[in-house]
Amino acid sequence: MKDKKEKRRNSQLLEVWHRLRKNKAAMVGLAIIVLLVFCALFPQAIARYGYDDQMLSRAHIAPCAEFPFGTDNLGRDIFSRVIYGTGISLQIGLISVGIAAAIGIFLGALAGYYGGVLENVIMRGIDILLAIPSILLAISIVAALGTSLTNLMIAVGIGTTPRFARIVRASILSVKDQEYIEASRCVGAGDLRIILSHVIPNCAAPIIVQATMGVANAILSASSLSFIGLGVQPPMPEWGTMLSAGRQYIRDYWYMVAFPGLAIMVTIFAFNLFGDGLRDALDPKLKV
Amino acid sequence: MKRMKVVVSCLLTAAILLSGCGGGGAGGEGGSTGKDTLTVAIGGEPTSLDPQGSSGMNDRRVTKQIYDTLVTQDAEMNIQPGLATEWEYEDDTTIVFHLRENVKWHNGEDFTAADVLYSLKRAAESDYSKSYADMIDIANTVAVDDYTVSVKLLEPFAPILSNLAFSALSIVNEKEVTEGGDTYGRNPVGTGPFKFVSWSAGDRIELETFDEYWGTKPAFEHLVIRVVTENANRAIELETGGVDIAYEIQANDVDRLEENEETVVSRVPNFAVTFLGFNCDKEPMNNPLVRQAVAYALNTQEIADTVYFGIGSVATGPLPSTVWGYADGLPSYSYNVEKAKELLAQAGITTPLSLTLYTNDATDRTTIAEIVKNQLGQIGMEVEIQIIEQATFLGELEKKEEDMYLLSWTTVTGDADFGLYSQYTTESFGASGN
Amino acid sequence: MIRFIGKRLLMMIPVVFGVILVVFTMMYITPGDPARSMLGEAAAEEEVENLREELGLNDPYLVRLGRYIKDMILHGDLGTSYTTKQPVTTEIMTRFPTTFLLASLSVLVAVCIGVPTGILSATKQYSILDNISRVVALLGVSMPNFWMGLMLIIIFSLNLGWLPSSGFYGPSYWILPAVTIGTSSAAVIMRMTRSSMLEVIRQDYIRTALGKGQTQRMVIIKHALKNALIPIITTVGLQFGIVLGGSVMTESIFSVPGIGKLMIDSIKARNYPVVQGGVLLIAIVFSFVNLAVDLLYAYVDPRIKAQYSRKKEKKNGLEAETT
Repeated sequence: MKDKKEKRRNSQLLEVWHRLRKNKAAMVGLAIIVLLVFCALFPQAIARYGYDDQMLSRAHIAPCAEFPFGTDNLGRDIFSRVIYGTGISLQIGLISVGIAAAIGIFLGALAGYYGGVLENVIMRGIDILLAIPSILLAISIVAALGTSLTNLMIAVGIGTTPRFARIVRASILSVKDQEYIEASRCVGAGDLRIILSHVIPNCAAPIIVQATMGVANAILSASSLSFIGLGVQPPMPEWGTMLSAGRQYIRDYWYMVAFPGLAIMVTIFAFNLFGDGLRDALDPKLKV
Repeated sequence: MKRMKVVVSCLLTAAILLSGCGGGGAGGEGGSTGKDTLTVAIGGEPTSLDPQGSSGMNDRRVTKQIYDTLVTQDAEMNIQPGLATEWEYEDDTTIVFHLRENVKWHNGEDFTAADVLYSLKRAAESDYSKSYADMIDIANTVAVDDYTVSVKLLEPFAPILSNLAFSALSIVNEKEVTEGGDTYGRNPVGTGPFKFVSWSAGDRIELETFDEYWGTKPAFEHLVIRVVTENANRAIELETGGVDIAYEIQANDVDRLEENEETVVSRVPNFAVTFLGFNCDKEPMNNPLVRQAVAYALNTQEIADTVYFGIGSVATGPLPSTVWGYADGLPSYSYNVEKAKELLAQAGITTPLSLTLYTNDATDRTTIAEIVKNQLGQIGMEVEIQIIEQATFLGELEKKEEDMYLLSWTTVTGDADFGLYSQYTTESFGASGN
Repeated sequence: MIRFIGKRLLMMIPVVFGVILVVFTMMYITPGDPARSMLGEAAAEEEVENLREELGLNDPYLVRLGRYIKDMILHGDLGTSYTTKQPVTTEIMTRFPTTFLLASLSVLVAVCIGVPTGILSATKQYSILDNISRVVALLGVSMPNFWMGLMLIIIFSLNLGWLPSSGFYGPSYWILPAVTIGTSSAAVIMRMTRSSMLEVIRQDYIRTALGKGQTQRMVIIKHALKNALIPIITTVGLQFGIVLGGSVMTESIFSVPGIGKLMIDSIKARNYPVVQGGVLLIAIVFSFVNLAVDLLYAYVDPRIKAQYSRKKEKKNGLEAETT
């Protein structure tokens, strides 16, 4: 019995993969993501200098052979910093989304499955979070907890939680009254088991898509926060912080702002592209 | 145990055009084009135009146009007459001021000694301005007649004239203040060259020339002060002609503006010193040898050149050269990495030290922090930078958990007393970074 | 229908109350001393402590919360700004119209760019035009808007000299900020329009209409667009909320005297009353926008209108059955 289930799931996955492969745009996105992950895991292989190799005498050098992206105001190689920054950005994206997904799925599942007062309370709470503009919420959280990488991830994570909660709840509502759920209950399956083995796999698709988009959004939000000055501690080469540091030099040393900005854009672009493709492949009719 | 400050610092040179607090300014084309309105851009919005109800640089920039003080300071920081034409010391703690006659308030009333008494009393009572006026013995300060005031001090205080020239002790009109109540800060009335017209929140303040001003009247009718917070934007506005004068030009914009034929940059040294302080209550900074090692390890010239683009000078003492009381030729620490390592060895430090450096979130400070971290890394110190928002910064310093911190002190009165008292005396221990 | 609106308004109250609670608590636990911020570094400890007492900052949580709510409900008083001593209500009301204007203009820009491109893209699916606009839309969504703002200033203010770089005094000042915010919204709206239109176009009734001889353009406007509108309207509504929040960065860069900038500055200065008042206002406005969007649904789609009124009938019907 279990064997068949595994086989079915495997072939389902294969099917999704095939559909995905046909989508050229999604493949491009995936390729870029793979490249980014490589930069994150092995920055030393690509970057020529460390991310805090200051040499004040060689500050503000325009892009050239030795420094493809130029040097910043402290003489650091911008190319190396951007590469090292990849790891930070991906980390922020994945962990924030992880936090958001964990809390969001939990709350959404509770709300959707048990309904009643619990659902009402949880959904009102979600509404409250949604009513506050996400950037103000994030700024307040960072102001309350202090400026650091961890708090940045928490702030962005909390802001993204409502989306996951809503999706999970909606999915659950749509399958809750299905017969196979009732059947499971008759057979004696506990609530947790039902949720884990029937309900959640059903909303796997929208969750995965939302997660992919969520990573993109998280990176953007984090760079916005860093831009205001509530981001990571220096000299960490987070892209948003680099943008913020470079913004007063934008007229004379455009490369301090252009390349980190480009890095942000390419990353988000790749995740969005891949996310779109994933959505199409998982369920063409899905309207997430 | 006090904190000791090894003065490893840089002076920021910037332009002061119309106020005494410091900043960088540049002017656009204009002069005698017959233009009626002068537009000025500042970097932050004033919170209140009540000189005894606010404390920020932006507030002072505007109040300086609206109010007068008893005495003023000229470009060389010498004391000149203001609302007082002459003064003499009767004894060590009494100064008699002879006031200017025929001075009008913006609301038409006449300026008299009663206004001076009211203002000084107010300044001594307000939390915002107490520290500049608390040496005045208000109870015994009296108006001898309508145009003479005898100011009594609690004890002899030489810098009193410098304090009196500072805008926190501007003379205000009693009737307007009491009638205005909480809204007075938005509807100021003074005796200065410009009279208040309107304040569009978050955006601009409009002033117009006061026809009955006692001094030199400005050559134009309207003065508009616009708030432009984005630094690069202020310079751009100047270049595109959106504003005529812009304050606080970033160091990296100065060269470009100087080369531009249509703009003029005015550079005047200001009164600020940015320094690296040590927490002497905590190891390892309680060891003078370690502190000296840090002093030798920092290349302050490089810092000045990089962060301030050479628009600053390396300070050799706790006061900038513009302040009265500045001493030239104090012993200083040159850049000597070998000596630094020697001192560390002498102090018995063999393993790499791990230190925290606190700074607020201003861009130039964080950049200095990054450079310091790097330079101290050369002598085997691992520095962890902790950026703390300005609002929480001073509170965190009071907890004394850090090893080192970056702070800046502006001697706004131009006199050494203000520059040193709060930072170096045991009485002031604990507050404001001491 | 009226009952529906009434019910929705009633449901807004606990949400708004929740927002007040959340923001107040967050400000309460945020470290930082507004009194010290106000007085500056030169003031002595004593003065700072005096000011703290005056502002009531030393009172316990429930006392402060209670006081805040009481003032709000009984006197309509949202408190006084710590820095300017002006009523919070005045502070936010003088700035709110500006932000609202900016947000509306941005949404307008977004709709004007997004909807037509979306339609074009959908009707000419897989053509070069479609692919290009999809890529451009994706780029628009991926670009950080503060970056775009700075770029626009450099190009249009400095190099070309066509538009002013800061302030908000007239139509020429509105353009750059609105475009900065509008373009990323435009991208989202374009993608939603495209996918929604694609869905609708595949439907049978479109084929029928075409078969009956109507021109493509008429079909699109009369049938396709109207039916595709619902998800588009939802997105536009959501975008308005996002734009209200997104104006925060743009207002800083362009020195637009709006609420967003006020919020950032106030959070940094720990000016609690202003933050609480401002977020409250934004939350209320956002809730109303959501309500308006839902009402717009009913206007556009008669099925939904019926649903709103049918709920009432159903209820009555049930009651009749059980009694």
